[in-house]
Amino acid sequence: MLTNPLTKNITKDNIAADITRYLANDGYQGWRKAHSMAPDDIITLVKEGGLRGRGGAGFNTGLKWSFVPRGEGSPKQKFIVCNADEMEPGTFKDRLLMERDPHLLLEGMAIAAYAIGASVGYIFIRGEYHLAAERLELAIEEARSRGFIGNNIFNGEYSLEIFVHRSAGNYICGEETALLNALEGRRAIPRAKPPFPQVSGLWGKPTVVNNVETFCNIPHLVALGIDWYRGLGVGQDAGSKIFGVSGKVKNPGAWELPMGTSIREIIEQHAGGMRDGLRLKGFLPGGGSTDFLGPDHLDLPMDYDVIGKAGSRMGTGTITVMDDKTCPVGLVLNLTQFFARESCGWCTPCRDGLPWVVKVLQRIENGEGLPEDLELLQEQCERIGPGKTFCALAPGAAEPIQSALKLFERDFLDHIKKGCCPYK
Amino acid sequence: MSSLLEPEAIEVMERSNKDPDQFSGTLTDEEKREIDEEAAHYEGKSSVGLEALRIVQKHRGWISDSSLQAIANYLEIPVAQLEGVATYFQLIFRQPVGKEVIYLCKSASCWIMGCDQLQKHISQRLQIEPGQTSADGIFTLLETPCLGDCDKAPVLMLGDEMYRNLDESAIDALIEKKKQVHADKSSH
Amino acid sequence: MPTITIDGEKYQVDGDQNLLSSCLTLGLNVPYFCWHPEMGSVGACRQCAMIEYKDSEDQSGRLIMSCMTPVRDGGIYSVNAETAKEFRGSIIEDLMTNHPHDCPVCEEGGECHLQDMTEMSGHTMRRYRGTKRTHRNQYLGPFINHEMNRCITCYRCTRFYNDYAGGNDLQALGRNHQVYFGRQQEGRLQNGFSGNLVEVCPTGVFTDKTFSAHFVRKWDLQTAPSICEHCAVGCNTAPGARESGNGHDPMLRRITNLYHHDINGYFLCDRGRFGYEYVNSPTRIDQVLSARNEELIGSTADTKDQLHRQVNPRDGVLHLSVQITAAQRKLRRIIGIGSPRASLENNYALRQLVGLDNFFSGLNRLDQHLLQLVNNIHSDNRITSPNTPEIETADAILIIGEDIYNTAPRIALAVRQAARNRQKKQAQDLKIPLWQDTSVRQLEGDPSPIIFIGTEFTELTDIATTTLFESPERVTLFTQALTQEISKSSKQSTEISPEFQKEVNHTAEILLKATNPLIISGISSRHLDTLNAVANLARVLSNHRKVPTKLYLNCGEVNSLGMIQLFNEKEGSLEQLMESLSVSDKEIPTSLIVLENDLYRRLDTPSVEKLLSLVDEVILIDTLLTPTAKRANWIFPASTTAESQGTYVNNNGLAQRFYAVYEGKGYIQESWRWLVDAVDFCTEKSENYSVLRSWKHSTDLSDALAREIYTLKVLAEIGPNEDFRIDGLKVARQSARYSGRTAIHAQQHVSETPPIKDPDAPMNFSMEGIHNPNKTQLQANIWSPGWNSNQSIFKFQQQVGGERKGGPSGKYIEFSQHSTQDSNVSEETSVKPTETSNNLQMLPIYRLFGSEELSNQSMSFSEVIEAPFILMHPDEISQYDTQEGELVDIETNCGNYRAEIKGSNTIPHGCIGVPFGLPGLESLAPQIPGYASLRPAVTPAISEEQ
Ligand SMILES: Cc1cc2nc3c(=O)[nH]c(=O)nc-3n(C[C@H](O)[C@H](O)[C@H](O)COP(=O)(O)O)c2cc1C
Ligand code: SF4
Ligand code: FES
Repeated sequence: MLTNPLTKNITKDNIAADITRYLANDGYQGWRKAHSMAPDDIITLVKEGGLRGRGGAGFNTGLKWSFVPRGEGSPKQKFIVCNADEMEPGTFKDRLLMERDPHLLLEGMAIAAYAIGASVGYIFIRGEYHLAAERLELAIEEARSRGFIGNNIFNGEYSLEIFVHRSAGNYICGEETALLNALEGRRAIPRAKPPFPQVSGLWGKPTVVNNVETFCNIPHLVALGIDWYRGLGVGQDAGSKIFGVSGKVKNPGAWELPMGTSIREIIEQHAGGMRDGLRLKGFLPGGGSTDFLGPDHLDLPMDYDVIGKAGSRMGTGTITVMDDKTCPVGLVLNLTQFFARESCGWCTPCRDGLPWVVKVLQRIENGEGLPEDLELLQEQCERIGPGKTFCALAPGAAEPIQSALKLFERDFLDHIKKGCCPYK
Repeated sequence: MSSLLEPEAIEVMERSNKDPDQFSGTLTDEEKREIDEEAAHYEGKSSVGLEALRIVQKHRGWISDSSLQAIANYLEIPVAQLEGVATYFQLIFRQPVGKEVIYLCKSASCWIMGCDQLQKHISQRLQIEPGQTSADGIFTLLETPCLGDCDKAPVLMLGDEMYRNLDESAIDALIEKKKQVHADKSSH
Repeated sequence: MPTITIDGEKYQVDGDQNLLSSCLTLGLNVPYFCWHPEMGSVGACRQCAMIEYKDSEDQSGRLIMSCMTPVRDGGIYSVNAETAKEFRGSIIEDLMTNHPHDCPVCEEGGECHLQDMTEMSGHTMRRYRGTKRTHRNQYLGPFINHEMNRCITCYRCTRFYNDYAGGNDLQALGRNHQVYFGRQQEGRLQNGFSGNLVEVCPTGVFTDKTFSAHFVRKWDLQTAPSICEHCAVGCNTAPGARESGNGHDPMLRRITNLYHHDINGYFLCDRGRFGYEYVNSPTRIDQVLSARNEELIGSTADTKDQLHRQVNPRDGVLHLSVQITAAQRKLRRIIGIGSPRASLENNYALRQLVGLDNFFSGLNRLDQHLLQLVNNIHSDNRITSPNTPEIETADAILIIGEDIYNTAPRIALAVRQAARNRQKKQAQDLKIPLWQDTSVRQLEGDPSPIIFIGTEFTELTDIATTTLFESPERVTLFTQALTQEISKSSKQSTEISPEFQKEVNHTAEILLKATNPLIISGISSRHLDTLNAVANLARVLSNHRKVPTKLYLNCGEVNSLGMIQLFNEKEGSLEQLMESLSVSDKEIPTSLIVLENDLYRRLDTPSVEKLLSLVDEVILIDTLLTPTAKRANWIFPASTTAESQGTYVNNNGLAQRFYAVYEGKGYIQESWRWLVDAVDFCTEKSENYSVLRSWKHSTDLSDALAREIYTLKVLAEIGPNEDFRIDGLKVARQSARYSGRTAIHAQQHVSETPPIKDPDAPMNFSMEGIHNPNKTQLQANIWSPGWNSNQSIFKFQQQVGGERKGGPSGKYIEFSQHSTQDSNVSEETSVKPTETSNNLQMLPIYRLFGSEELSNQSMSFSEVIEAPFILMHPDEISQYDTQEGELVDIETNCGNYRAEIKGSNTIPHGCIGVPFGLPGLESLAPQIPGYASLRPAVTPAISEEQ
């Protein structure tokens, strides 16, 4: 039984699976099958397969597709968009997938496009991902020349074009509605919802935005079916996932593992545990906008709801490990600087609150903090919490801060008391 | 500390965008062709603003006022609208940069792995702070958010290339190599 | 109507509004920044936070942005919950981290929404210890100051400027906490509604530069409801005035918008906002002047200009009374020339004095006929005149030969909103409330059909679905063909090409398909045939659709439609006057009284000269030293709109009263008062004079007008009149915080001088009296406790965006209703080329800045009015041995003019576009549509010049 659908074409060397290799390994079988199905049936299949969005929020992918208006009277033009704007600190999975197996993404997009009735797809890729963009463009050419995309695919009526859109920086472009504004050539400010993109997205037309890894799950889900897919996961959630570990571990890297794999297994087995002389002090389970968890949480399985209950989020599933010689205040400062800089500037708490938090953290790190600063930080975290800002960037920024204040309170107090950073 | 990417330093209006003479206020045929090619992928020419900026920047190194105006004219969009986009996106330069732009990753994993130390090293070696260009006009140092290679931290990007698992000596070698390339070029 | 509970109280609210505006309508104080009653919600500032509870069990509730929340029937909300209050305070605290706290030197201070909201949110202590981000400011032209450090990034400016007003040179630049609102390069803001930024910006980033030049705090301004006199739309304004202290004269300091639901809503155009400075201009007349009757020397003798000296007003009045007495004894004839820019009252007083036979409109024949035609059209019950909200909701608009952006700017802004109606329709289909501004704007949606046909359209072309640039004759032809198409009449014109017919059919289809079509036209193309054709089109459309057609007609000047009511059947044009003068008894001397009119803008110069040569004496009552003033034997200083009370009738036929804001300086007074003063001096008894003598208040005149002129009978109902009182008190023109009223006169008097009495209005020139938006429409100081900025306007409205409390001000006049036969006014005025050498037809083109007489004298306008120019099709320019940008000499039957020649693809071949009323070319205007010839300018040799 296939257990590594996402990475089965990925080898040790840094080369992309070209179309010959991709086809030799059952490539485009999912697309061929999907093309013979009714679009509604694909949507149901994906929904029941239990695939949850790998972009961070974990929303059921099939359910998302089902919101696209279909049938008589619905807009003719629809769009499928791949969110390849990976920029979340500590996240390095989409780059891997795009650089090494670009056809997998294209196949997933083709199926999704067909299911929702889109005739144009865009891959919105980070401006810095030059290699991935080139390999994708090449793959698009290959796929087009073999008739997997382009006009009258599989000699049927359905046609699909896919284009690569290179962005130019800005984390907020990953927020799906800001992404749409960016694609339209505007400033990437998130849009108000409703209407959701599925109803009125790109140029006002129905649009589905999914993450790279989400799309990569689709071909095999369609080809091999729900039962196989659900069986991949070892916990509550279905399928497999790219998990990764960075930080001072012996063997940092990324691996495709079943959903529900325990954090301990990922860090200790696959990443080889901490480097000698270092202890794990805490970790971000899925990128810079997730709450810190501590050694107590090592035995949790990587499942969306379980990590959620533990007070964090699975996010992108790429773990950033913090060791005991690294200053938590410095790390939180680094993360908050990132979020403050990446704020789109639309809503007050994020735009003006985050730079203030940066200044307070900087002060504490410099040894100039005051005891009341911790209260202020706490308060600021509440102000930028969910529902209080226009989009999810600022609430994401609050997560590492608020959890660090709890988990590493000692460190914050030490900085203030000693008037310097004890780690320096 | 000042850097093009550091909030404290970007003063939108504070640009020295005097045009060097080589950039005319019109686009070259090649630039136009590339823009048209991109434009075919979108609904309406105005959607292609960012691509057009990228394309012109690829040829000219940065976007001067007259380049900006030329693109706006070509796309038939208000120049203010294009400026709104140009100043919004980090990889669009509204000031001249060096021939080699060093994007040093400053995000979480690289920070844990010591990118601050590397930054100081580069700064010292090239005598530039982040956001600045070296006196010989070859290097510009920028700090960038996560480059998505966290398992090989610390990393930097130079041109289209990623440089991974860096330490000071790797950086020294890289700088020397690039200096050499440009020395060879100019001696031709 | 949904019922909701807010802080334990139950209310019924309008389900179409969001929670924030529902709360404001209920009179609750909820702070906000980015929401704007006209521009809707975008959820950016997060200031309007409230709590929503799931049900009555729910204790903690959920924080929501009230501006982004639709009201839910049965919904339970709180403004006062601690968590909401704390959050709102925290938003101010965040905003203040970058705000410079420079209130003492900020011109917004005292009417600053940010100050108000800070107070309201209860944030008092600064905890932020860091540095503030700073920006550099830009030069934005003569109207607007820029002070970016004060910005709180609410995005209102760009939302107004770009999204609402269609501007494209102001943008949000940069990102994160450094977002900058400015232009790509320094320079004048190009959009003609830029002045609204001053009111739209909740803090002091954009302030009124003309006001800066003579700044005082809002609380030190004396205000009264007024009407903008710079076009015929009739926007309501709140001018502010104050004396300068040290014994200096009072002056008009600024104009702000005064909300009127049916006309201007929340916005004015820049001509209306900044054109006021003519009132304070150096060419202003404030003394009685008499010609010196001296032999003039040198070249000025040719101009026949008079040299004037200041005289005791008594002497002037005496002189006038002597002439009037003589006239009574049939020893003198007195002719009165009225004006479409003078109030009904002033025109009427002159008519009363000289008698209808001797009263003339001050218009040339063409304009007179055009206005009479407009008046006829209004009396047709198949046609109605739409107000601004009606224009904004039209789903198809046809604009014929009227460049409304330049001639009736506020209407152009309304048309721009109508362009979004398809998008709004789509939003409604998707159940997206219309106040969800960004959500609605992101919907696809082609612009609603908006079709322009005419010579030149500026600005609005971006929303046009079809634009046809044609000569006036072809515009008429189009309109006629359209009428035939709609009436399915078989009579097809042979002059029409198939392409032209295609456009006609397309337009017909659009008009017939629309559920709410609208036609806009007017007199500015100065073409009777066109106007006749438009009227017929409207009638036919009405016959077809079985409902009156909405037809908006622009009449040009502020009281054009009012003044024409005084002429009834009589023509009253200046040409008619000349005819009558040339046959009249030469033995009896004639005095000509010209009321607020510059004849040189009405007739070509030789004709004016001829007219003036037919009379023995010219007496002028006016505000500015016009070319006519230079020829007058006597000049009396007239008050401007802001200094007087009276009535104007706008394009819709809405008669509106304006009240004096302050007393003009010197001997300035209402024109009618000069006439009454003179009659008072007369010894002669006559019924006519005793009527004049009985007039003590402005309202005496309007009452008399209402009695005498059928169509104006509503004037009796426009109030309130002088004797109106609230709780026994008049309304205060000054705010309760008016400062320094003793000190300001200290140089002259140690004691406080008593306020000037106002005989006309139920208002005091002081702070004593009523200050209460709930009680009176007369309060123009838009202020309410806790709401010092103009945002307090909602306290003056029945509901947010609704009519003002106390109902709409003004009344529609009753045009004599008759379903006229499709009358065509005669064509005698059409101009044929008289000399073969003058072969270029002159077409009028208009400019927001430059075409209107009074605003042209505003100091700040000198920077924005173009130098003399004419437009010609680029293909034709070379035929005249010149090129774009060169100077050319234009020769007409009446004179030579020099102007720059500019290319314009929209000018038909064989025509030149002549900017109407532009300084330097004023006297060309009355010659349009006449003919001119053109040649390159020859610079005379130096020796010749000497
Ligand atoms: C500030 C912000 C940044 C985001 N960045 C990304 C990103 O880089 N890549 C991504 O796939 N999703 C990102 N998301 C999530 C997207 O908005 C969206 O949920 C996702 O693309 C949906 O795809 P999925 O359903 O396949 O996960 C981001 C969200 C926020 C609020
Ligand atoms: S939280 Fe607000 S300011 Fe921040 S990125 Fe989202 S919308 Fe923009
Ligand atoms: S007024 Fe509601 S968020 Fe600004």
